[in-house]
Amino acid sequence: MAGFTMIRHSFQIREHDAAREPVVFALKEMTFTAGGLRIGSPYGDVVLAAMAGELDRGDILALFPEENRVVRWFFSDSLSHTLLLTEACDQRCLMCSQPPRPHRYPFWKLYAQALNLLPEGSQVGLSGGEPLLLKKELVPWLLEMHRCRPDLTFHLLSNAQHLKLGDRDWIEPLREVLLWGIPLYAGDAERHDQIVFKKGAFETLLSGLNLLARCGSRVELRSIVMQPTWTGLSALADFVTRHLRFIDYWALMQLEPMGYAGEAWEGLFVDTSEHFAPVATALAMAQAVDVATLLYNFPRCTVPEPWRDRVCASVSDWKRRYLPQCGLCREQSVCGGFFESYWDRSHQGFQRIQPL
Amino acid sequence: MKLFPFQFRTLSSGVLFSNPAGDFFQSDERLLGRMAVGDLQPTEWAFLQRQGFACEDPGDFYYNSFRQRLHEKKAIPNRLNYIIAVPTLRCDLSCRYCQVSRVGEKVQGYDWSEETLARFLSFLDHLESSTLKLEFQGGEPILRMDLLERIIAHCQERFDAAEFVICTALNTLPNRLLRLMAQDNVYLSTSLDGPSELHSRNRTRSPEATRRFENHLRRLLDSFGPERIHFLPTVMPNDFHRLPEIIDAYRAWGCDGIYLRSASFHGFARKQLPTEMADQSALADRWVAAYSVAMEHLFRCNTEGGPMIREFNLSQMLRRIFKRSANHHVDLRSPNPAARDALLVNWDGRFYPSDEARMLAAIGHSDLSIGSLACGYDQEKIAQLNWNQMNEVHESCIHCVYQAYCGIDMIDDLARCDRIDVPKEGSWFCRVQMGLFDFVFNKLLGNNPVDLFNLSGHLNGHFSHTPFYGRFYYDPA
Amino acid sequence: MCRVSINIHQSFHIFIAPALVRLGAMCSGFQWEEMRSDGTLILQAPDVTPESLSQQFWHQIYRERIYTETLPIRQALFQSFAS
Repeated sequence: MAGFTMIRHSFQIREHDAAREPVVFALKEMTFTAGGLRIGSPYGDVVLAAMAGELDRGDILALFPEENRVVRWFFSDSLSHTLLLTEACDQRCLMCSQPPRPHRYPFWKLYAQALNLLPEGSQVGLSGGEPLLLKKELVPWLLEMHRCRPDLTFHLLSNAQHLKLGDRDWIEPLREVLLWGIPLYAGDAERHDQIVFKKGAFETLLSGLNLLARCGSRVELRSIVMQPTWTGLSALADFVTRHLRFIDYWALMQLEPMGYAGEAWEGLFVDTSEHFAPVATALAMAQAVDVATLLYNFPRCTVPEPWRDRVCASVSDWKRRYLPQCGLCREQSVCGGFFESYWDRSHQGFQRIQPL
Repeated sequence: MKLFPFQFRTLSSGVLFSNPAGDFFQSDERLLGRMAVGDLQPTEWAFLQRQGFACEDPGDFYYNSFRQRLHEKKAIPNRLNYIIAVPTLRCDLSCRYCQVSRVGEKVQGYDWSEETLARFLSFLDHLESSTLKLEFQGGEPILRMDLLERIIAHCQERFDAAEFVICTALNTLPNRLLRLMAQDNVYLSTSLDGPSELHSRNRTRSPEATRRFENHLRRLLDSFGPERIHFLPTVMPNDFHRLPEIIDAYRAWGCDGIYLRSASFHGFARKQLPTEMADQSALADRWVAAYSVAMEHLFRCNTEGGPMIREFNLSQMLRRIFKRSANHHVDLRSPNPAARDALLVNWDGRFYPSDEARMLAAIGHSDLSIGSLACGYDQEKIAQLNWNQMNEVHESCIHCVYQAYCGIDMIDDLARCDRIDVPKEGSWFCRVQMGLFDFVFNKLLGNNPVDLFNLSGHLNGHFSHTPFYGRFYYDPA
Repeated sequence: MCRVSINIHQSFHIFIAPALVRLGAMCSGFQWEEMRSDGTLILQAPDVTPESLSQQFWHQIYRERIYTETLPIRQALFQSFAS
């Protein structure tokens, strides 16, 4: 699971024939020419401002003729794919890697076409902003997709602020195929609300989680390890291990140096390569009651050996980079490495990187 | 705001509070007094809510969370997948405390017949479970290698995953046993009372026989390692003070676990030591005191390096306190339904709910059989047993701070008191468990790094100084 | 013989009887005198301090009260598993 791929790679179209409705297709033919990458599309050949190797046969592309754009929605060589449904959000988390903007992408018909092209058993990430702001359209779409493609699973990243008792009607039928990725940053309302910049968010979140628990839903609980959550980690772990045991697993995440987190890096980042103890305590508390845990965005060598099996290669391939010294590491193939965006911050980043 | 049911007990460091879902915290008399009348400050309500002791309304988040934890504590696996088989009651040793009332090696009529074997295999075939743990007890089961071989071969075919434990005194080490051990899901469990001289006195009755046993054990350990060979002591009341010595002997053998187990009041042990067994409370207090001393010794040894040893009682208690579904150990769970996930099939083909239950039948004390291979389950008797194995409704247990983690041992009460309706407070089982849980909670509450290191090792298997539980002290001042 | 007199608020009166029965069963030689009209109860027991005797009594009263008052929620919880 884990691997959360971001999202849209968009390519300018240099030449194409006709301006018609947007269309989705799987890339079959392509040739590299002097003018760019020439690909076959349902509307005939299109030349893109792209480099060889940037696209692959089997990638699923959306062609928007009016905007003169081709967008890659899904990678051919991955079993997990993500759709960015909206950039709008009702929370304003102080470390958001993708700060909210009022942009929505409600291409439900195109998404349906794209999903129909996916290989059997694929996982589709549904991300935002807050996807449930589009609940009215999203829910019928999800139910329809599940009807057509019962083999697909969905990973919905949501703040669970928009769930009512009546939502049981669609949550229950989807409980086997829908994994909820839900963020929680503190074990108390005051601290959590401050971090997400929304009063009452914690209380609302609890009632949302309550509903999911009662529906038997699968939940990935996500918490970010950073200065504002650091001193509260043990209290958070206490809360999770007592009140949220129904979750599938608890993911503790290092920061991605993008958006607000990139801007306020110095005030947010905690160097867990030097100070891991509070994270270890949280992991040990979860282990004591048999709540599964995972570590996202932690380079493997920065995690003490007893907890290294929790590390996921969660940074998606195309955003993943390694440091020069990583060349010596024997465990690089199972390490998530570093975000591409980490480069600008590396002097204020992990101080202890030791090839394994 | 509403309080969930809760219990409390005064420990040396303060008042311990717990609830039926297994949550706990420590505070003092002042908070207790206020909780008893529901006269609490908003900060106290908030603390209690977070700690799992209160909710705003039935149906809210904290109520459902409590309900879920309570359910986890009570959910008993409902698939029979743990079976103890007694293919023979004959034994080639005569231990002074033999609890199963073995019969002599040459005596006839105490083995499974061909018919019993056929019925047993067919019984296994009809189990719903696709996994099985099968433990061979005796008597001395390796007197019937032929039966063991046939049963194991059958199960290897029948089940997706199976484990076999052969419980033997290792007076002999037949080649056929070694060949059986070549299958890596076959384990061996034997008795080792500690220092050789103690083992000779209790079990083999001669230094030569003990040396022979020890040679067998050494050979097995060398061939298969401590992962496949387990051993445990039985400790007689006169030897309680020797527990640290017994632990040292186990360390010398290089083993990573020990089950400190006092001789129970079954079989020959009843006749051996009637006077020492008579005063249950005093004997239980002696055992708890000896256990505490022994565990301090074991904790110290573990911090000094060398092979780490875990003690089984402590691991089980910690698992009952912390883990979500540690409901497999029949001695420490409630409710404790008979024949639900575990069952014993005796040498005569009769079913019993546990090993101890057949021991009582063996001395003609009381017939706790719950059916047989030939006739199936005796549902009426099972229901009777079950109603008496629930501490949730037992008068002596309802106020107990350890109720969520504990069980009821009706069979031990029967053995020692000849009846089950005695107040539990003075009984061996209750008194020992109270003492042992007091020991555990004093350690948990004590915040001592050596204790923390050992407790984590006993709970999770790896020893670490990382705290594994949050703050649970509430200071009402 | 230790003797203490305890003043008991009316809200606890219904829990006195079960608490006394339990104390009587647990501590040998325990005795009590009939409650006076001012709500005062006299307790006696050998080999205890007055503080301990009075604490033991109050703990039993608390236990009875807690058990009784949380019984509906306990029953609702267990019933919810059965359904």
